[in-house]
Amino acid sequence: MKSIDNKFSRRDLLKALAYTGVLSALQTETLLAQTTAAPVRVLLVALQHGWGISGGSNRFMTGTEVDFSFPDGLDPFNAIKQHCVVIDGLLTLGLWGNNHDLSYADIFTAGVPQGQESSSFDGHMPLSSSPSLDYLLQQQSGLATLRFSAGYRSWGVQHHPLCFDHNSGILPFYTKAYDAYNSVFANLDNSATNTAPSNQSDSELISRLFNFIRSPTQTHITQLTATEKAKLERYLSAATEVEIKKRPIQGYSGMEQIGQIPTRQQSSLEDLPNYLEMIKVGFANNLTTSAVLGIGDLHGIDKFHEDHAHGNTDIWWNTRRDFAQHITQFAQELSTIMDYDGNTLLDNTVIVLTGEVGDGGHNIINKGHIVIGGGGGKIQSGRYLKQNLVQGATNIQSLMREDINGTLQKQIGFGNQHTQQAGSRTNADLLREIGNIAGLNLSQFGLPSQNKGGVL
Amino acid sequence: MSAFYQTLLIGMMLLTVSACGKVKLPPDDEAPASSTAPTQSSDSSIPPSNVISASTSSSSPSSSRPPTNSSSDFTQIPSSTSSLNSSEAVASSNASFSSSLADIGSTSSTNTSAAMSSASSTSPSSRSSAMQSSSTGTFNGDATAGKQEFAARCNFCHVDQMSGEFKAGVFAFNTAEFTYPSMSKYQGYQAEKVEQLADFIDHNMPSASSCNDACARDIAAYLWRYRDAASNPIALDSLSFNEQGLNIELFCLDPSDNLSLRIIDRSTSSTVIDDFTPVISRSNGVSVTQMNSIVTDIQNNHFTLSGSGDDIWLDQIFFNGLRKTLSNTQLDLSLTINHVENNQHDFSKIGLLVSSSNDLSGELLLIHWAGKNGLAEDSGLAELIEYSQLLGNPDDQLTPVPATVRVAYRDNHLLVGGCYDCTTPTLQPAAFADFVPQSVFIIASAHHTQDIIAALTITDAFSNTPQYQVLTETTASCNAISHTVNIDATTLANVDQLTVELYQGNRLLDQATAQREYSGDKSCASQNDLLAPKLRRLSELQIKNSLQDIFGNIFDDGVWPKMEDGAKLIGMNTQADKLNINSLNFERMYDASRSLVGTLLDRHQELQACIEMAGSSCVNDLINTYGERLWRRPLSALELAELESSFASFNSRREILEYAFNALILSSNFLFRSELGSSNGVVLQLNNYEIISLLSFSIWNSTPDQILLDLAAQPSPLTTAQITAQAERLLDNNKATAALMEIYKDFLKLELVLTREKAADYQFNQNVRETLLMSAEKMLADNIQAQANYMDVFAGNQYYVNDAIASFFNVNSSDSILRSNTFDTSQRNGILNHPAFLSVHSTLSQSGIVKRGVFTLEQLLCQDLPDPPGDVMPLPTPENIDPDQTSERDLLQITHSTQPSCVGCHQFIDPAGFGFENFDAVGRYRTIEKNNVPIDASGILAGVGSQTLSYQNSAEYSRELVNSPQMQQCVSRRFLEHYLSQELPADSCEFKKYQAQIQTLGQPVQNLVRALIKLESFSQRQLLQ
Repeated sequence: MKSIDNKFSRRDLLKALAYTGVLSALQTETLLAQTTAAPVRVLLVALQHGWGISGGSNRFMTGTEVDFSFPDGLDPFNAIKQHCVVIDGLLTLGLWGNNHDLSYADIFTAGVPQGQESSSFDGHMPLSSSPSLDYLLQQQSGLATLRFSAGYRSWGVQHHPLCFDHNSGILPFYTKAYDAYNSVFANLDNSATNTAPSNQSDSELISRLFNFIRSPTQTHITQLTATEKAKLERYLSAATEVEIKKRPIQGYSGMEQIGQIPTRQQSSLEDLPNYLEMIKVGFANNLTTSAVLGIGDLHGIDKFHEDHAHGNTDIWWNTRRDFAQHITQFAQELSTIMDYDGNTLLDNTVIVLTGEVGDGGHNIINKGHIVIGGGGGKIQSGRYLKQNLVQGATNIQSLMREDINGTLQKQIGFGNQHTQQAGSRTNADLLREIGNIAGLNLSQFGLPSQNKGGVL
Repeated sequence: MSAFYQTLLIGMMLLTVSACGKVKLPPDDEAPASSTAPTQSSDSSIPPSNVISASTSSSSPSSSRPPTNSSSDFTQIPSSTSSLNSSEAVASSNASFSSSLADIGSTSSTNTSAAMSSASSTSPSSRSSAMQSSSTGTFNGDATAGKQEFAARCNFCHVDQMSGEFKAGVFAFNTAEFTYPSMSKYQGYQAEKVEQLADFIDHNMPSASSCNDACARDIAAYLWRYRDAASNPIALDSLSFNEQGLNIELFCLDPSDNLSLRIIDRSTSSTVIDDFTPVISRSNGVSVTQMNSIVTDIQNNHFTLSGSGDDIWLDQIFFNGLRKTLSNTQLDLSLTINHVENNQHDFSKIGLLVSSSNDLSGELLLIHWAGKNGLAEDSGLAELIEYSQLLGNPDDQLTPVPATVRVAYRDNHLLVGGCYDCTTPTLQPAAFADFVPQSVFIIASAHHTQDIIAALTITDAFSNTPQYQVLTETTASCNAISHTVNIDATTLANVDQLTVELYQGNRLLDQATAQREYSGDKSCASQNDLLAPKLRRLSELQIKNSLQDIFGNIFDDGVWPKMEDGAKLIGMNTQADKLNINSLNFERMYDASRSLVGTLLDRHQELQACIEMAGSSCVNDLINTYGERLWRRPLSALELAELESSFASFNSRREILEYAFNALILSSNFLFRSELGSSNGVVLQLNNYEIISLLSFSIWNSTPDQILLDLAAQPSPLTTAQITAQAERLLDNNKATAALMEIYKDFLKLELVLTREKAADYQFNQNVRETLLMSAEKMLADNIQAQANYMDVFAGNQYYVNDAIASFFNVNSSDSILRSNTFDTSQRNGILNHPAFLSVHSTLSQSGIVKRGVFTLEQLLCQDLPDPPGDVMPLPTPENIDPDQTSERDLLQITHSTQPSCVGCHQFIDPAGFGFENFDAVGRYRTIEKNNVPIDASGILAGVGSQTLSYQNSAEYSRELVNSPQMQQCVSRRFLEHYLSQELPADSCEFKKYQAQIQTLGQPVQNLVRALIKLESFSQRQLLQ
């Protein structure tokens, strides 16, 4: 990891603006006085069927580490490639089951035990044994992660578990932008439809109310078994989160506000830009420092999975282009927002693009990832990193992963281990680094075996 | 082989029948090639090699199988062409003799193959062929019954000499080989297996018309005993193990005494490695670690040790290993190094380290495999300083494996040995060490920073056989050909599987394993199969129903909380472990509660009256009354005091009530149903309030009313009569119909019609969606109210239609009111042909054969499908296929289902979906697609329980499904899962009892509830520590 110090400081920028007459001397002094540290924001994006790079894709990155191009279909990213690090590719789960269903819980946790193919949540889906990165960031910052799902589901399950707390509890996502807006933004000061409670008696009611509901629950918890306890612990945790949110008055602290208010009936495809705007405003106003966005295949294409995703057809690539366009626009907008420390919001943000499979097919042993943003100056962007691949046959012992009992098992259970090539670094490595860039102090992340070294 | 794959196998066979008109059985790998009699062990003290009998699942009589031409286990010896004889010629006149024999052979081979994978390795040899089905994986024939059958049916021709000989002229036969030496017709044929004999009897004996299936198997079991008697005249004949105890049938050809039976619990076995403790030795000493952190793949005395430690010489003795303290000086251990991976250092060491102390501070001796340096010993006092090579490395590569090192203490001396590719090295005195051993370590040291992996086998000359717990021993004598021994259950503890060993003196004659099978009368509590107590969050609808029932229907639409519960297609969405209060759900409850309480304060008469009343205790009264209704139990004095302690903080009675009612509604005591109960030392007995809640939510999908709450207040436990009476009262209410309808809706996932995306062409707008759902609800409600059989609720040809949805039924209507219309049952049949159902289970613009097929198998028929294979790409459509002129059914087969990795499942998924092909993506009836491509909605779906469904069109398919026992069983299982809020395996005790109750009560839909209240789980839970 290399710290990059080639940015203007906020002070330098303000002075330059004063010098050029854009800011008055008084304004400049005021703003200089406000200059402070800015947190690193993290947005984790999971796209169903992946972004198409690495592995079995039929279109590939081209060029060298510092002079590269995205393939047709991901071409919108070329406009911001100086802010990107493309990682091709990382070992994630390994090969031992249906990669779609297995990998949801692992994408942001690197914590699905080897061989675990079901859970109490779903007979075909495991859960993670360790928390997701966003949860750790939320715990650190005390600010709730924004978790949005733009149709990230499949026909069998209406919600795929992506994020987890320390008890393997599934963390909920807003599944409609309309609901997310009303829950997070509608009641903020200066918002378009502010109905926030602000009188004293309401404040008293909220305080008393939440005090009361905790008491019998805490008594109840002591009478339960461990698995049932977790239900009430989750209830209490949720109560705390909601209490904080409902206490008057929390408001915007920055300049950015929600422009486009979502409607109840709009589609998931229409939700996507709303979500991104909410994340932008949330980051800009320091309402949160972390967000997770799940993007499903939203374009209403029949037999998308069977015919197009696994076939890497033009239709499939066109949908990637649409999503890439949204993300690119989001990044460009972040780059126009000045953060508290004078850097742009994009400079202080890390966006990680990934998916449950890597290439539209099923590749999760060298899954491509795209990292966008400067990470507070700690990410050297504008790079295309080809990860070393390890050959299964000769390195099978290094391709091991803990099972539910903590015993190491081979990750290559399918196919020919003599010919399989897997990434020498893992999603755990990347997420650990991202976490540390965002201020966590992680010596390891997810399953211990998956911590193999540096990526960025 | 899992049940699913067994079903697959059977299904594949049946599909082949449909395609070819004849069954093709799998190749017969088990068929012997010679005509000689089967080899039998000459040493009867060793159980003869397994000729394991058929498992129950595959022991169906050959009469149910079509004939086959596959190879035979009966080996034909050239015979004369003498004419058939009298009565047996008549018996065989309907089928050619050769085909009968071929049939026998193929059937038995299949059975044997299945049995080989399922039978216990400890089953008695061919003797177990006569075991009853209660014994694990045995041929299903009762020898005792067979003896009686034989006497009644066969003895006239084949006189039973009670010695294994059956004599009567040409009808005489020899049980040693099962040949007909004197009957030309059968000359040269032998039965190799008991199953073949049963089939032979079934097909060829004159009594075949009246003695088939079980009768033939019983007789075969009886005759087969004599065959084994030649080598083993005393044996275990059958085991029956249930809650009453163990029943052992002994077979004794000759009177015998001095017999003993040893009943063993093999689940408590211990092996050599069990005596060792995992440790890590580093510079700070020897510390205990987790077994699974260094040892894996433990199978008896074979295991894999992950070794590390960057040095092992002098006093830096760093390794991962296993330690055992010796209780005496008995030491004779051999360690075989089978395989080593990741060896990075020439001096890595794997071996046995003996110490004169309990740690490494005493005298040491390490005998080991040494990287590239052969086999050697190191020794010294608290260090390894002396070195002596035991065996050199034959080349400069890695020291060969397998290699065995051995250390022993004999005659007060330490001895060592080592050899390559051997099992027992010769011992010799250790080169430099000689001390009394106190502890021994199995060690692996990488002598390097990276781990090595060693696959090892440990052998202890003093204790190398697994030790099992002997539950009881008893003596027996056997003076008749059959003798029964009963072992009372009290001596068998809670063991579910045990092994019986039969001894004469010290000689082991026979052994067999039995699995406990509980009778239907045995309680789930005593089977340790009660459900665990759970917290059950109210569902969205239960929250709404409860609040409406408690306060009246005074609330606005749209105020109810919409929970993010991640609805699923398979299973029921009321599973206790899936419904949570997370931050989103809490927030929605909070918002809803604030709004609902606002409405209460504005509209509820009692609350309004209290607000306006001066100087009254009405607040406390309201909290007492509604607190009990909301929490489904009275609030404790402490809870009331805590609630009331905040009242002073508010300025008005309205504010107090607003606070109090929000607090009650948002409390976990409202949102979760608890099962705290009380322990009686054996089970957790639910309390009265918990029972009435279960009753009320089961029947009304809502909270208990005041009558139930008052009843629950009685100090004594509710009686069965009280519960039954209340159940009937609740059932006699429209809320019961609505609740049942909701379960059907959840089972069919009809609610998803409101959100399932559809192509714009269909004009599937919100009004259409809501009207279709309403139409389906009315159809279900009509059937439920008619007290129909619970499967008949899926049937019927009366559909509710109005102008908004007429086109989806292919009819015209200008009526805006939903009215019942009668449809042609050859086109639409029941709720499975309702557009609401069909729209949910389809894709954006296509019928979705796979989606419908998977849903049918997994949800309607409760069949578990394995996950799709890892990497499947669709095949390109062949150039000679025009997709626009080819049915979706054919395209699916061409581009996907026929792929080798797909066909295993798709041969079931596809025909389970073809049966809906008469309906498009929004449920419109059709006979063509793509303008002119004919629809083929026919199919054959095998593996539906024991059935194969054959249908010509969608209406017929739906009828077949609904009439299938498999779906009937599945529906009842899903209902029980809903009532008990958890998934239940098909073999769970509660489900089996539930089914038995339904069978007893009959199938009217309301009996699904009546059966529930008779279960133990209605009032008891597992007592967890």
